[in-house]
Amino acid sequence: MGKVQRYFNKTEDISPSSKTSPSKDTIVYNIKPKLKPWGRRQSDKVINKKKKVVKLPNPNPKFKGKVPIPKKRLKKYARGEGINKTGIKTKIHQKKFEKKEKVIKFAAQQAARAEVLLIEEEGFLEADAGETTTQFTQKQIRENVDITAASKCFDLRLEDFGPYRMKYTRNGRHMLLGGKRGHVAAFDWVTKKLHCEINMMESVHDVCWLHLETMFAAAQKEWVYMYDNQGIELHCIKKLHRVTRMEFLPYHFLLAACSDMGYLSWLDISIGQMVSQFNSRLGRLTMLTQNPWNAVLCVGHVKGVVSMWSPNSKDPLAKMLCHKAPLTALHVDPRGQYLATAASNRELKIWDVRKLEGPVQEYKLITAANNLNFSQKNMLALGMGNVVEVYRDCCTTATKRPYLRHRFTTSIGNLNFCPYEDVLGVATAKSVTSLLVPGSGEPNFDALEANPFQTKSQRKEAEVKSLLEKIQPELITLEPNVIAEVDIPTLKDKIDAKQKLLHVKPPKINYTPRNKAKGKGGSAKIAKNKKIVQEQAKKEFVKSTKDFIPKLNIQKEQQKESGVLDRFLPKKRKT
Amino acid sequence: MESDTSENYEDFYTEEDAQKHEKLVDKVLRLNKTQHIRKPSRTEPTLQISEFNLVKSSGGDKGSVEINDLTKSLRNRKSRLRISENVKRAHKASHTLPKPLEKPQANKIRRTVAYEKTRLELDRWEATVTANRVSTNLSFPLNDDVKMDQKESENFASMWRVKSKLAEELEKHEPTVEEYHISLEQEEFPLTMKEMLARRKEAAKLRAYQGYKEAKARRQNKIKSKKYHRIQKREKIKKKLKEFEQLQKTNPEEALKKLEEIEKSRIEERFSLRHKSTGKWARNQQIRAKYDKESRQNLAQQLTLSRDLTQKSKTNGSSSEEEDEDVEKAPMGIDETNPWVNGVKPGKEVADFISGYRKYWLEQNKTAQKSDAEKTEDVLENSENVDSNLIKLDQPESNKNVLLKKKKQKVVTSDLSFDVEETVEKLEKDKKVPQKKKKQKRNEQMNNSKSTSEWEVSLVENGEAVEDMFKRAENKLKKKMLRNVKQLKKKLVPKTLAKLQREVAKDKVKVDLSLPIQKKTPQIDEALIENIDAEIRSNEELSNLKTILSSQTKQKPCDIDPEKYLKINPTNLATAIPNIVTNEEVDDQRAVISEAFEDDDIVDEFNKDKSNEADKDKPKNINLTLPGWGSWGGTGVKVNKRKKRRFTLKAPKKIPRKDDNKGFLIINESAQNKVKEHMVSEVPFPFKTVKDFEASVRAPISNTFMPETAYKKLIKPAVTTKMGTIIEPMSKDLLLNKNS
Repeated sequence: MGKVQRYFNKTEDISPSSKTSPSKDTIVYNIKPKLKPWGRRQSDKVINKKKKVVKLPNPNPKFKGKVPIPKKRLKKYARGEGINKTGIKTKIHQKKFEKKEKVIKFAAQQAARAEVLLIEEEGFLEADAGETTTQFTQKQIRENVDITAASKCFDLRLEDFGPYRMKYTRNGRHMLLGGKRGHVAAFDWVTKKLHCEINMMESVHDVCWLHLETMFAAAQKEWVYMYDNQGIELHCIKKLHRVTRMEFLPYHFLLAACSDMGYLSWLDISIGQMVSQFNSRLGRLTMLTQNPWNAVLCVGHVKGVVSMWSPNSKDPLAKMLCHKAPLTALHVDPRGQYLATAASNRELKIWDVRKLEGPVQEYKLITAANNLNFSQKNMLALGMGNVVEVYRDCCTTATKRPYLRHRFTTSIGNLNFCPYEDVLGVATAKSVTSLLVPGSGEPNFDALEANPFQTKSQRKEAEVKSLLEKIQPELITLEPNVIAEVDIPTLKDKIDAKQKLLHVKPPKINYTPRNKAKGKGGSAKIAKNKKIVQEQAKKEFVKSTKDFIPKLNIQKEQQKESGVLDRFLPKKRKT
Repeated sequence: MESDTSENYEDFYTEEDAQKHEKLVDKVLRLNKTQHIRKPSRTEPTLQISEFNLVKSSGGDKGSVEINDLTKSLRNRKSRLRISENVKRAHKASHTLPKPLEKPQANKIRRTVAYEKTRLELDRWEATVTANRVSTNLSFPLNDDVKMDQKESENFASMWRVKSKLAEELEKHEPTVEEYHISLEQEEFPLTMKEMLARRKEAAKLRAYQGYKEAKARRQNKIKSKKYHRIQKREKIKKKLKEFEQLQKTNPEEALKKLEEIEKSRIEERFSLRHKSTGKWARNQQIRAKYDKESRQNLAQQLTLSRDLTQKSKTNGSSSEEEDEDVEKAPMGIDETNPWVNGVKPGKEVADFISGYRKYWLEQNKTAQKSDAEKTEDVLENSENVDSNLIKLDQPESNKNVLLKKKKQKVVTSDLSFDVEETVEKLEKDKKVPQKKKKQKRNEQMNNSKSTSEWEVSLVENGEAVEDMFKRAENKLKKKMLRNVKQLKKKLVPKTLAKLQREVAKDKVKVDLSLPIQKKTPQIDEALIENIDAEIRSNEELSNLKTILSSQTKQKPCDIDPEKYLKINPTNLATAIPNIVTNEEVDDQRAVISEAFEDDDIVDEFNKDKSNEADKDKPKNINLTLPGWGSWGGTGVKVNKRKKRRFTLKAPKKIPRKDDNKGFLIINESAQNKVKEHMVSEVPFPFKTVKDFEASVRAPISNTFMPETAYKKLIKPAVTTKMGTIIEPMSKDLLLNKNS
């Protein structure tokens, strides 16, 4: 047979001997495995037991999932220690708060993650070996930067209208300048587009933007006036008399002013009401800054004292003896951490405003500084006579050398760092100049907070939103977080009152019932009557004790103040 | 056998004795006049056994006959052995039923069992309920297992395709027939509650309408006015005519029949003398007509009626024109009789208007009547159906309502006072130790008292009670201290016995014991026990602890001026020297002067300010002495020193201020009063401590501070409902584990 046998036709020729012939060495156990463990309990256990699948992470996966957030950054956004679970009463509430805690943690993580989006970084000047940044002049800087940055460095020669003062808007886009002899101008300094220019025909002491670039206030010879960006006079506020300096508190919509006569006043510009006005009893006030962290006004004084004021009390919230000589200038940094004060004894001190401690740093200058200003990145500009010097990192470490220096021909009236730009605006007696200070401004702006490239509709939207989120002036205190705390002294009083009440005992009443004729009242009835009388007395006593409780929160019947916005209140229903 | 007989004998005798005895007792009892109820005794064997006679004999257990005793007599007989065994077995197997419990007890047991049962039933829900309560967001309806028809239409894919021209052309030739399969089963679903209610409402409305109609008809029938009926009749006729016309268009055969009828009636009218001016009534009217306007009108109407009735009805052709004419004539007819209008023909416009109006009105009437008729018929049918349904459903429905109305009363038990105590404890940790002890004790008392009622709390009178309390507190403290000391000794002795002895020896030789005591003031607290090492050094003080107790234990706050230690050396800055200085040289001079006197002037003033401020805030002693009360008063009379001392309320010595150790800083503590109004002054419900509450509000919610995703999570409403869906109560299906 030439045919090859196919595999399926093959007969099984595997001999049983070769297949399973237990060799003599191996011992074969015949084990009958039990399918089920015997006994009722055992079987129960088996049924309940499920296969546990332990999922181990792939040791070297292709995609590694979310990038872990560095701990330091997480800590930056963390909201502090959470609630202790045992401090909450029912289990359900415990669970609820656990969930809330998780969300808060998640929020912190998200915020930390979102930092990736802040791509801009601040610049700086780098000096070669043997050089210092102080050597660099504005001209050199201008030559070495790009055109747009170079265009931000300019000089306005304004010879006639005397020492100037200038201010930027919160988004840093617009500039307002006021000359002592009555020249007021508002313009978009980036595009150099003039909004308005007015001659007030009387002295102008200070100018201040209000919540938007469409309105500004000018403290003139007698009163404060408000103008819109076309230079049309909107208001003349005669209550603000002979004002020397003004500050605008953006979140409270308050225009704060200090006057020649020592008056401090807060004007709510959203409803046009004077929130508070009183005499500080400090004499003439010429130095005023706000602490952006808590909206408290810091006023410098000749006696070397910085006093902090809120509209809620006629005494200062705090007084700090900063120098043993008359103060010449003070400023709080935009984050509300440091306070810089300069005195006539050529001292410059940096204080910790949050703790009201210090000085953190102490410097001795060669001449007294007349002007101080912090930038968003904590650079400090000093104005001394006709010289401006900018210092970097002067708060945490003691610097030796100025970062930049510029010399003017005339004395400096006022200087301000422009927010979100590397620009320092200096108003002198005969000019307004903007200098380039690399690395002074915050490179990443929050468009919902302050947007330099705001459109008209965005501006309108922001105005409405900020009005809705307006903070009441009562909340201006040294610690802005106080509203989230428990008023412990009152709580103590309440507890004490409660305890006092518990120790009062109703008087015992000895009641002897009169004798009744036989059959009219049994002993049971007498006892009942006695109980009733005693009960009644007790009730009356309890009622009367309600007057003992010291009324802690007596709601005073407030007189109807007819406010401007009262018409929007819900009308009282006639019942 | 013998023994048996002897027993019998004995029985016999005893029986006789017993009878005699009974008789005797009877006689004795008869002496007494009160009647005794005799126990019934069985005498004859009967089939019916009265249950009243089955009473235990007076002898108690002894007297009753036990089956075992009976079977004992069968014991020895082999043939009866079986019986006795059976009886024994039966006796073993069956127990006498226990006596039924008394009613209150039985009820109690029943209640507990029922409670347990329901509790177990409710416990099953616990997990779901807690899950729902805990969840931050519930969206109703909860069970989202609504079955969606996921079947897609066959041409779903083709919907997205652009058809070619050829395809469109083909479709025109062969249009695809879409088939709609309406499942009739769906219609058969029982009506929902809402539908049922709506239907019932509609039915009720229609029934009311019907009733109203009926009532109206009845009222109209009762009217006796001839004039009214006449008008009615005329209207009826007109209506019939109209109907006839309508019929002509729609149903000619029917119309023919009707026509015949009408014709017949016309003939009848023609040959009868009705509605003619020949009758008695008509003649009378004619006579009156000269003077009476009304009779004239009546007559005219009569004549017009006859004319109408006798006129040949138009069959076909220009019916609309004719009709118009007819309609136009009608007002004319009325006008004819009017003497005032007679002869004066109305203008065409007026006539047109009237005719148009009339036409419109007629039409309106027609349609209304028609629709009414239809409606009533339909609705009657419907209502019957609905009613039958309703009758069926009414019962369970009402039950449901009742159930729904029942609401669980949520009992919120807020154990506020207790927590408050805890907070107190926490708050006063910083206070003096003895005070703390006192407070704790007081708290304990409060706790005790709370269990009974709020008012029956231990009496505290002004003077003595407080003193007593102090004494008690002191005693307690002493005891505690002694205990502590003992414990300490126990601990210390084995460890440092030798050391101690050595020290004691040293002390004996050298140092007076009482000297170092005043310097070191150990805090009296539990902490004492723990830090042994610290205590070893102050071991010699142990013996003098009692004296320490009496002395003030409060530690002085450390008065370290950090200013001295945290001084920063000023760094000199090489600033540029300006060419122009705003402050002139005069200022410079002044500066020099001020520099010279700076420390004396400014600092002193500030310190004075600070001390003044502190004094202002310090609580002052209150003098409550009344001059002349219990002594002579008037000018020149000095108040007794002792009295003064007794009646002044002493203020606490020193209240710590925020600016105590801060050097050149004054903080005005009363300035915060305005914010206090907005602050929370009580720890709200789920929190036990101030700290936890503050932690719960530490993070803001608004999207200006939070990332949008987190913000959305935080402001999610607790409950959301889907519009247009029925939110049904949870069913038991929810408890089933669907996975298994």
